[in-house]
Amino acid sequence: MMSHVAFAVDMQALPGWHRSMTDDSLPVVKPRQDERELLRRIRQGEIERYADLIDLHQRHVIRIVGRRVPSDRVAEIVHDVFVRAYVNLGQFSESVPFDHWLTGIAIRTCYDFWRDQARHAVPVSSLTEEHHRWIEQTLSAQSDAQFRRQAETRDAAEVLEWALQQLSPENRAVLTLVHLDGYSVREAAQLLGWTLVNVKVRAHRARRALRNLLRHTSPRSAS
Amino acid sequence: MNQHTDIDVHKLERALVDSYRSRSGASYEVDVTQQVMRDVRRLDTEREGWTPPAMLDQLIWQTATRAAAVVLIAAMLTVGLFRLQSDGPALVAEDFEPAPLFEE
Repeated sequence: MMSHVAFAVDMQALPGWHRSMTDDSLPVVKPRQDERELLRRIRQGEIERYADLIDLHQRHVIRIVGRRVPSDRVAEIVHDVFVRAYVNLGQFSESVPFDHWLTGIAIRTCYDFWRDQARHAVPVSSLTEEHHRWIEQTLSAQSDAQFRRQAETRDAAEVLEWALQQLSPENRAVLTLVHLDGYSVREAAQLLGWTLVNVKVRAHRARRALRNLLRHTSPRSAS
Repeated sequence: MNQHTDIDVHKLERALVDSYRSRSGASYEVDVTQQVMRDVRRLDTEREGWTPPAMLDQLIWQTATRAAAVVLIAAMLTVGLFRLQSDGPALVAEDFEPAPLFEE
């Protein structure tokens, strides 16, 4: 039986899974004068300068894409993000930092990737014995350190991927942005280019769907 | 059917969020610069003679504004000219009108 015994992590902190929702690993780079100059020159036709812009923002885009798509597709999607950004450079108004604008493109490109996957009915993986063991070990973790170690395992990433695969591309995109990355609903709506109400409703539904999935991951619930 | 409790679900959610955030994505040895630049050059060749969108937008707006200004000035001049032409005889008539045609 799965252990629900005392858990060293302060249970008061549990509601904080939806914690302060600003993920420090996704910093927003302040717009720089040299970057503005670079953009101006590219728009005036010096397209070779676009390579400098890619160099400036590539790590940021890889970080976003690397968390959202399978590892063997990261390079392809990052490439698509920068090509899309170039094609739409005329629409960048400089009212927001360039990397914020680029983040929106990266997120929408990843969303398109999952929409395409859904259209082609790519088979969804199922939980293995190892995953069920990971769930049991996570629930029975006796200390904060043990819990963190569990969260850093490959099995954890696979269980998360399994759960995300069960969601629609729309719910997946919103859940990733709001609950995993920690963006506010308003920021998520801006990045996806969707209405606030749409994102709010989807965030609620997506989290409920995730919770339902996790609720039924008990090995006995399947039997 | 056995299900996880709310507390268990909460713990699992937290573990998954931690798992997601521990993936920095920085470990990917990816450099797309060369491929992107190749595509960018190809795109640029395809739209040969095509002004970049930002400049095109600017050009369209500038042209539209100037055209609107010219039309406005022309319209004002035309209206003014017509007024002058139609007002001319009226003014002449007004000069004569004060004198009654038939005096008793």
